[in-house]
Amino acid sequence: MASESKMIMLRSSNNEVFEVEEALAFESQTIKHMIEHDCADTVIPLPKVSSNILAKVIEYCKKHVTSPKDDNNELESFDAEFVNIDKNVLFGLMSAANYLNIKSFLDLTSQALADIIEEKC
Amino acid sequence: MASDAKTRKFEYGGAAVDRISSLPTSLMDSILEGLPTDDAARTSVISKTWRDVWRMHPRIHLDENLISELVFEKFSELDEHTQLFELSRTITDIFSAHRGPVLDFLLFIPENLPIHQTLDMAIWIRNISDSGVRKLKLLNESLYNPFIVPSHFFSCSQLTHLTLVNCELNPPFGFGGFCNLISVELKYVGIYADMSLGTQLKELDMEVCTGIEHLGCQFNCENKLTSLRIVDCEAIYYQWFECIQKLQVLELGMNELPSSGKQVITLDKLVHNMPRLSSLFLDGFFLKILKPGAATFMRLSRTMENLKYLYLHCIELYEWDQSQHVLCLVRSSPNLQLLKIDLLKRIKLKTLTMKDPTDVFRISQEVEQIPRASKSAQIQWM
Repeated sequence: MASESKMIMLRSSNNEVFEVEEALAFESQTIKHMIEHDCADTVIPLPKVSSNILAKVIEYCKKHVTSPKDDNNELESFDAEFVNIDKNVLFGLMSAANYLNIKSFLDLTSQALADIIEEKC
Repeated sequence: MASDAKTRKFEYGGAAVDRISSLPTSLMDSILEGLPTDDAARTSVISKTWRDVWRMHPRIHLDENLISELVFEKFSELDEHTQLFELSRTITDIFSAHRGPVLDFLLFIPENLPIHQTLDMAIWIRNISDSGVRKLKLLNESLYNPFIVPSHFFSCSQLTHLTLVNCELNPPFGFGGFCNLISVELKYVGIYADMSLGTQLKELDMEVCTGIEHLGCQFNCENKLTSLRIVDCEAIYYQWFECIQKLQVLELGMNELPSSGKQVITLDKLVHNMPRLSSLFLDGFFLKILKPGAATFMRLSRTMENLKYLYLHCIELYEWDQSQHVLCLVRSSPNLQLLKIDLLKRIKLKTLTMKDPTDVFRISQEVEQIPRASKSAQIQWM
């Protein structure tokens, strides 16, 4: 398997194709598993993830892959802003995080939802 | 457990809450984990779905907040003896209502309510042992009433993370440890017989513990320790450091000189077998009991290539041996990124041991001038 900056194609539920770097795609354990075990063709179909959700997931992964490891404050404020969105989109993100198996993103979105419930108390 | 007022607050028609109900159980569990235990428990009144999820939720955290809320809101009218009884009964009720395995258990034991001395405690431990608990924290607030851990504890074969505060461990003879245990934190814990914690152990943190010599077999050549912290324990066993090749983080602290201030090991010998060490925390009292071997050498016999963080506290720079140890460490760490030195503040004005104040200045200057690997490497003086 090539270790250079290989590009991966992801197809959303509404048939839009996103091209991303392998390192970024590998944030998703699901995608990583599929590629490492040769279970996928050139394009990986993600029937449970719509385009707008997939775009946001890619945005999150990109930020977390490219940020320097020590810059916790910047990542924290990025994360806080990132989940400051409409509840319905947050649900979609959480489901996607679960389906794609991106642990840090799952923790972030579930905590955001827990915070919403707590506000109601 | 919830009063009417709080139930109403959940707004049965609430869109968020409804949508969450339609998520798979594992996701609902993740959300419940983000809530404090009492709020998470309250979700059980929203609907059958929520109730079932809560009952099967593998985490039971009876933390300080929850316990004090229970005691102050429900039992404040009662005398302490009855409070103890009611609290035990409530916890037993929680276990009875619970379905499914308990994989993550935390219990706070308040100082004035020694629930660990009730018969129920042994039953709760057996309950979680049977369900294959993985993460366990027993936080006993009372120093004078340690929790003598019952025998069922040693049958918790699935344990991966353990924290014990104010406990006593009396392992059964020949106890070979927990085969999945990777992280242990012991504070104010007494160990009364030889035992191993487990061959997979990676992180060990001991603070004010007694009987740690009983853990000797933990440090055999196959050990996988990556992080070790021994602070304020009666002694440090240097033979343990002969087989710690994988160690990345080390903290050794004494807080005051031990009664037998024997000088048993040199700094060189201490860190010799730790090529992967990346973080080192030492205090001045510990440096005092080192043999001054390093003082006669400018550098350690092996460079600490991977050392990135060096944190020294309670340091007295005007003590010759200490300052030499500090300089020796810094000189031997070419890739250091952060050096933090906390100076011991002497309140006494009498300075019999203090050498010429310009010594302190000269030493600090020398430390500042040691070449650094990169411009971003920092020195912090505290």
